[in-house]
Amino acid sequence: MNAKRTFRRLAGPLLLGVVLGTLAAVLLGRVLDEAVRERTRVDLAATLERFEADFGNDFPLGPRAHERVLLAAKQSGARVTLVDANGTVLSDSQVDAVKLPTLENHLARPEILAARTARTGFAERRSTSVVEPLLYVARRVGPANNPSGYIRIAVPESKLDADEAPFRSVLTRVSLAAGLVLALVVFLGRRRHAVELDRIREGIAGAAEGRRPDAFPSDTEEGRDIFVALSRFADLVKAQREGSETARVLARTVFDEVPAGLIVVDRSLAVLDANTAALRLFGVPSVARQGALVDLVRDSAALSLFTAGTSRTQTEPPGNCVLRVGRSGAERVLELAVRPVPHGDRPGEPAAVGVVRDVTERERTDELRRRFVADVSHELRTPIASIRAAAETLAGSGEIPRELSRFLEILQRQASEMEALVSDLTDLSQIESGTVTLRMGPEALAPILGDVNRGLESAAKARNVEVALDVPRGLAVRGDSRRLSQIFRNLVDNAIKYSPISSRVDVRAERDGSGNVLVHVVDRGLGIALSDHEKIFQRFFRVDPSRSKTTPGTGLGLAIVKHLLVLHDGAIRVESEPGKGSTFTVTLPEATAAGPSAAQEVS
Amino acid sequence: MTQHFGDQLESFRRQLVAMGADVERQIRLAIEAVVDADAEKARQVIAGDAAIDQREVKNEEDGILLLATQQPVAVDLRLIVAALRINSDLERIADHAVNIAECAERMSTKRPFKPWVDIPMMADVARGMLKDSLDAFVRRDTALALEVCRRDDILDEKNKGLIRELLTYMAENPSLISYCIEIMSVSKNLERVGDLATNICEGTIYFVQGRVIKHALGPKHAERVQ
Repeated sequence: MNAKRTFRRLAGPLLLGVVLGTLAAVLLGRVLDEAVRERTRVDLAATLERFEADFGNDFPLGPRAHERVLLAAKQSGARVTLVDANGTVLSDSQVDAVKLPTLENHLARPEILAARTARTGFAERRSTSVVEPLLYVARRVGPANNPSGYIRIAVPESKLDADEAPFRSVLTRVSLAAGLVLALVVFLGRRRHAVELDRIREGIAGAAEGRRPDAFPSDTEEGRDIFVALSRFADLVKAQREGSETARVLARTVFDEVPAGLIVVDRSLAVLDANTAALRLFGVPSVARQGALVDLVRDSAALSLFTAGTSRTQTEPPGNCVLRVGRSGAERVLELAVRPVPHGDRPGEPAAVGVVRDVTERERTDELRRRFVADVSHELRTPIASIRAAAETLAGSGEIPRELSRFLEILQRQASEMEALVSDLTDLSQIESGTVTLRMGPEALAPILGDVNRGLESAAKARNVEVALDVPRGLAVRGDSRRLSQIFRNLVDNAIKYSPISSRVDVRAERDGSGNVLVHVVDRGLGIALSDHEKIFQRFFRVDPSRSKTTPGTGLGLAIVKHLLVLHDGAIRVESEPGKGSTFTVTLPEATAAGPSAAQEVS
Repeated sequence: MTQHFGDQLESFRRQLVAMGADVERQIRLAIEAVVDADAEKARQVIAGDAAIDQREVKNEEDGILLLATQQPVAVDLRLIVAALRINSDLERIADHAVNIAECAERMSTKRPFKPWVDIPMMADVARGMLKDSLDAFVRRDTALALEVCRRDDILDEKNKGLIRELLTYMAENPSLISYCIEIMSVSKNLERVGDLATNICEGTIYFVQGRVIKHALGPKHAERVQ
């Protein structure tokens, strides 16, 4: 890995060095070549000057000229040619005298042409007679207008190359060495950078795991800046990691230790997680974790809650249910609430969490309370009836002294109030325990409200309260007529009781436009504070306890009304402000002509 | 492949437990139909039986397919064999729920001539046995399974006692015969539910311990358990 990387780093500069070195060698070679040629020309021109002194007077041709030409050639190491003004070769160191006449005229040769005008002429070309590349230098003898002839010497290029060779080899070596040095410099420079980059990379990797870098990537200003930035990054990562770890541990601890049972299930109803409380509540050993939900709970209501909770379309909590678990005989009552959660073990995969609470005790006390109320009200009924009957008999006998009849009245009044209270208690306990059977059917509102009004006539007259009915003809609701009367009697009775003397109570009925009928009961009494609006529907709640002495009532009426309305799929709400009277509004489903006409039993 | 088989086996087991949940609901509704004289609940039970039958067929096919294609051994083999038995036991319990519901539907229009405290009591025992037998299967709890088997005697005694009592009423007043026969039928069906819950427990013990206890609990159990 590292060797490979070093090789990669080295190969580039090496190639570059070799290429640059070669290029430099070639270019310098050219320059050298040119310089050598130039020197040779200068040397040859100097030689020619000497020859001119030697041969200048020999033209057209002196004695022993050919021998002297040969000698000169030998001394200078060059080919020497004498040419007359007409271009005829007079003598050539490399051509036999007998062959001279066969040589062509040399006047047109470029070096001769150049020498004719400029005294000295150069040319580089292949010789026709000796067949090798030669460097020619010619010199005119005599004035330009009347030359007496030309002396020419020629040197083979190979001799020049041989002269150059040592220089050229030195040059090549130097160039290559320079190239390699360059390569080394580049490599070292790059390696330094690479080391810095490696340090930065390591620093980032460490910082991503929350570790501060231990040294500057390089001792430069940029290096210090990078170090500072990396340290800050590392601190941030560390803080976040610790934060999320803390949150995770906290969530896990809460999940495990919270007394409520928690179960997380996915869409296939497999248990993703369950805390110890859940396993304890369901009486399952811990091995059942990650098992199937049906291993924990087979209650159909609970299973359908979980199914609803894990469906993709579910956004609302699917609700609660009560289930019984454990060995028969030692059953525990659990309350289960299921809430959908957006992500299970994979993002986007819906899941649901079930919250389980042990409500065995609560259920038992509720059951005890219900049974107690039912028993007490049942047991009280008979003695009260006897007291009333006895009091009535006494009152009718006419044998009670006038001064004692006042006590008899108290006896009668209190006995009938007690009877009402016990009757209300019985009603409430029956409604709560679900043993009330309603005979549901379409019931016209006007006759029911009319009957209620007539029944309360004496109470209204006693307070001089006018009850005004405004009920459209033909308006009917679905319900049990006896229970509907009970509902409205309670409401109108309350309105009369809490109205000021000589005031008015309005009872208005109307359709709400969505299949329901609204009945408003409006009084102009003291009103109810907003904080009490919920409480008035609880058992035995009286807005003003001090008034309970002056205004008779059991405190159960509104609780009964509320429970009865729930059985009717109806509802009740109150709008009131202290001092401005109250409006109770009852909502009941309207009975349409197409609705069920036959009476139907609902328990 | 092993993992794959493990998944198939687990999903087969879950199907069976889910069917158990459905059968428990059927029994609960049937008993409520009798105790509350609720014909609507009775009809609900009768309508729900088809789904249970479908589940039984599906479970049986899946179990046989697993046996044929995976050739399981040891505990896996015992699980499939026990599950197939439990599967048919559950289906028969559901049939008894339907029988009870039919009685409930017929009785719902008549007034009971005396309060039948034994029926709710037997119903509680039978329901508890079914529930605990399934719990024992799910948790591989053989101790619980054995305990459920012993509870069966309560149902047998109650059933016999009730039949004797009903016979005296019928002898005294023949107009009560049709009603008494319904009560007798409910009692008999509840007693059968208890027997089948015992079978489920035996299946669980076979699956967990590889032990067949069918006829080990005395001659009484032997003739009852088929």
